[in-house]
Amino acid sequence: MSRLHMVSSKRFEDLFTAAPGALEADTAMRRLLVEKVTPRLYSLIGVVVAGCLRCERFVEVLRGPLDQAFAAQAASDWRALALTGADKAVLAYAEKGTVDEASVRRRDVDELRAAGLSDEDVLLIATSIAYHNYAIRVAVAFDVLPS
Amino acid sequence: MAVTEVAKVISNWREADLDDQEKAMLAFTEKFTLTPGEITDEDIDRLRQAGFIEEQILAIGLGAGYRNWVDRIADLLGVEENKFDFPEEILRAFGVTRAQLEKSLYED
Repeated sequence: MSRLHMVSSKRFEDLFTAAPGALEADTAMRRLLVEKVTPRLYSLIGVVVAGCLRCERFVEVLRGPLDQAFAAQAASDWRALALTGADKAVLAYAEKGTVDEASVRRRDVDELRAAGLSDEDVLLIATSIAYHNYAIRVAVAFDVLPS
Repeated sequence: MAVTEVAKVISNWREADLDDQEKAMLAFTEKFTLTPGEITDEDIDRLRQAGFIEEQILAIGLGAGYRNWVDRIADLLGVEENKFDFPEEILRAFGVTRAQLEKSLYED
């Protein structure tokens, strides 16, 4: 059961029962990001954001296609993983965008471009980071599992 | 709400002229933003004790979540919402001039 009396399950989607239209908007956004960013990278961003927010208990439901041990390591210390330069640039951006977002500057985006990412990639990655920051906070606040 | 009061809420909401229910909402919102992993049943109960019903508590959480989403996208991409529309009182509260605002966040 969630922390809200009106939601008797642990499903994130059930939170939207009292907010008409919100479930459809949330589902459409999530599907778009997974499709465009790729399930692997979307999930990797999610577990790193969960680790930054001290919500490691969500790693299992957020890891998607990622190996369990790999996802756990990404949440606790992604720098210890063998990752491509592009992955490292994305996760550094995700970490900074979660714990100290006001300090993000042009040079952070330039590092993504230097790693081979296009401006469309940057937009989708930024939106994925922000979405996970929203969904994980809502999930942990009301004690449900993020989608 | 007067712009001077908005400035006070932004800079230090605990000292702003707010009622107990509003302060309970902002305490929850602050924790939701800064240390969400530390939210407990007691935090939700404090909102109930302040007079919020379940639908309102959900709306507070979703609203705070939405701001965490949109403001984060703005920070990550170096854009602002209505960046030139801040009243003078807000600018003074943060010690910036309108001319300074006209530079991009990325022009640092």
